Amino acid sequence: MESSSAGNFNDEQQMLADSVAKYLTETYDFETRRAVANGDLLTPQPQWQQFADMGWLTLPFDERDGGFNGGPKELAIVFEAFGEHLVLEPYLETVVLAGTTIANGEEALKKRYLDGIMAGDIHAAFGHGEAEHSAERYYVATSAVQSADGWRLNGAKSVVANGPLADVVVVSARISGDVRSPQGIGLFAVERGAAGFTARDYVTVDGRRASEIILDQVDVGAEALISSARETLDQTLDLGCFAVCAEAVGAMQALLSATVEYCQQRRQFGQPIGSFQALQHRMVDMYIALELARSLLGATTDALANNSRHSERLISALKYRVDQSARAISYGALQLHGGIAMTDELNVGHYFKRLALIEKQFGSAQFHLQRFKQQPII
Amino acid sequence: MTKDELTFQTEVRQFIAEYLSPELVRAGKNMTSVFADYDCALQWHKILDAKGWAAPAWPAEFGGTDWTQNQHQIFQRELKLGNAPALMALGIQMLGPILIKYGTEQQKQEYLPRIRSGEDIWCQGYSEPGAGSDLASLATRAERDGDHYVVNGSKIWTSFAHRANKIFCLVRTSTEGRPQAGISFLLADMDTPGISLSEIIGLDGTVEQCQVFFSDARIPVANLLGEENQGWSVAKYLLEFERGGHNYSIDHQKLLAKARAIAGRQYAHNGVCYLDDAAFSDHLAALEIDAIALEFTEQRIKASDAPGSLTSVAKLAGTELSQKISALASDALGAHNAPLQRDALEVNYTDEVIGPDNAITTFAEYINMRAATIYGGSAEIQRNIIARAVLGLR
Repeated sequence: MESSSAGNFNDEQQMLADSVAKYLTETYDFETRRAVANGDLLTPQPQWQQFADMGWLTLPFDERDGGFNGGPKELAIVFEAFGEHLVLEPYLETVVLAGTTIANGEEALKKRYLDGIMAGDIHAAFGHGEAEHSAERYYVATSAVQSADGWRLNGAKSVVANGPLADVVVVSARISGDVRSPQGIGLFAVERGAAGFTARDYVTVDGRRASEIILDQVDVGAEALISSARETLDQTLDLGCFAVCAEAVGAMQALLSATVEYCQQRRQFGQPIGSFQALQHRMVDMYIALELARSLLGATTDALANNSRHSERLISALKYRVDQSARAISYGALQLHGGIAMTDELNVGHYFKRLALIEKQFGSAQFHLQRFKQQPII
Repeated sequence: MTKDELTFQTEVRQFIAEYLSPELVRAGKNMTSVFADYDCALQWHKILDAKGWAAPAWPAEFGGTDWTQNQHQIFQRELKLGNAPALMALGIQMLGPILIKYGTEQQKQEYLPRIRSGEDIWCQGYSEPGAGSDLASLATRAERDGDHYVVNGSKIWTSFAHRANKIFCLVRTSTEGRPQAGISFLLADMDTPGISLSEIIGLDGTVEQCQVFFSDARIPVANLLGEENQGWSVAKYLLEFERGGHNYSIDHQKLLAKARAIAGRQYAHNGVCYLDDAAFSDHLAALEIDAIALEFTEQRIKASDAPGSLTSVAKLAGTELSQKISALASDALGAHNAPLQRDALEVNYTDEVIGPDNAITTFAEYINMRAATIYGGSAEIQRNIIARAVLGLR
């Protein structure tokens, strides 16, 4: 089986891939992960500082800001490895979603947050989805009204991943237009300690953390508005979508490998169950599902790296395909493992839960199919 | 429905209105698997027993009823759609029919009334770590020693063993001949010295399954059900009850209603709720068609004297359909699948739930439903049965 979706690596990319793989293989076994999952809701886990020490938190940021200047290929490398090891750390939220958005902001804002994010000192989150509209990309009812020295925010954000740990949350709020208009949405940096900011924090079914956030007359300065361009919101959500698709490919690879290995070991009726043709064919279908997703991940990586005008269409294609593949592979993995996969003890079910939540992030299947159909044909 | 059936339905509805308390309804609504809150299930069991309805499918002479098939159907549907908590099923649905068919007079008198009243809660020791789909290869040994069997080995996926006081199990009493030939069916007290268990935490974080260990556990020979080495026939009879005894079609109705409720409230894209999205509602309609087909398949099974492999068809199609419907509900729930709300599923929970209030069971139900094609004869085993017994493929 192919080990990577991102195609050929240059020396730097190879070093990154090796270092991530080495760290996770040596230090992030399933029991370590369990300890992270069971850790305190409001306390960062020690792994985060290690991520920072290895420089991973600087990855997508510009060299001028002190970053590594990594592109989509680097991001795919890291997220595939995260998926393979079921990494819980909020890299997506702090670095990819909030971090790259803040990098679009004014110097003062970058100074305040970006250095801390790269150093592992500042945690961040991205609050966009609202109540029953979280699958709608541009539904934003949370309002931003200009005040004497900045903006006043009112509204509520649902399932804000990494909310409990976040020192700063980038939230979307409507400056103008109808609640569903793609235009007129501002992205604001709001600190968790701000007056009028309340959060209900909780654990998620895949062992992570999230919050329901209420903004009640929250005042922020003028510099808190990072961008009100539709492109910034789209680029951020698409980058996040791309990252979790890479994560899913890593997780699917791990699930397929575990299933093939299990079916070779597990004996019933006097032979390894992997010798039964019905099971072999199911695993072959899982493999095909994985490779199709992997191919689209590679194509999307290249399109993003080249700033191709087809990127959006490919990201929607990738997300839709990943959802289908994730389902085929996780259902197959559970079924072929049997009862043992339905336990908390084995990692198989945890991959299933993570993939199930990835499927529900960054827009419904319907959204991506619609967007795919509307984009120009390649 | 005939006039008598309508009268019966009214009687059941009145009974439910009178005795099914809000707390019990909550226990029924909050079910995320085939099991309800244990205490509530037991409470409801006793209420039903006082009415003579705890084991309606048993013959009247053992405390059952003389209802028609349609009455049984009405009763089950009213209870499920009224959100009654499911009873602990293994005693009433599984062991009861076996005792009635294979038990000695003494065994019937000893066990049946206690099952019916809820005094005894039974668990089932069939699968072993090394014997799942290949059940006949089970290796838990029972060696005769005077009036006792000395049992050694281990059983796994023993549902609710941690709450049961009795276990019925398959043990190996002979290694001669075919593997099926040396199996016996034993009844035991869970507090027998030498029987212990460990709880298994499920994917949803709760304990429904256990592993049970036998270490020189001495079980009286009088607890043998059926003949020694004939346990396989006894178990096969029971498996038919396990497969055919379940009304998947009522489950489907409930699951479809829940999926529709979620899909009517959550938005798929650009102001269109899931229920109004053409692709989603087509998918839902297709599943509804399968649900109707299933319902009539179950009616054919009930009307037939020899349902045979149609029970495998119902189990396969029924469980796979339940999985598809629960997946669709989870799809429509979108990001709100994420919050882990185990405490909100407790019957005495009074705080506000996180996210939509009609979906706290959805994700747990979705993941637990994946087990439905694993337990009670996996989907692969069911397909083998149909291939061999119906299509004659060898």
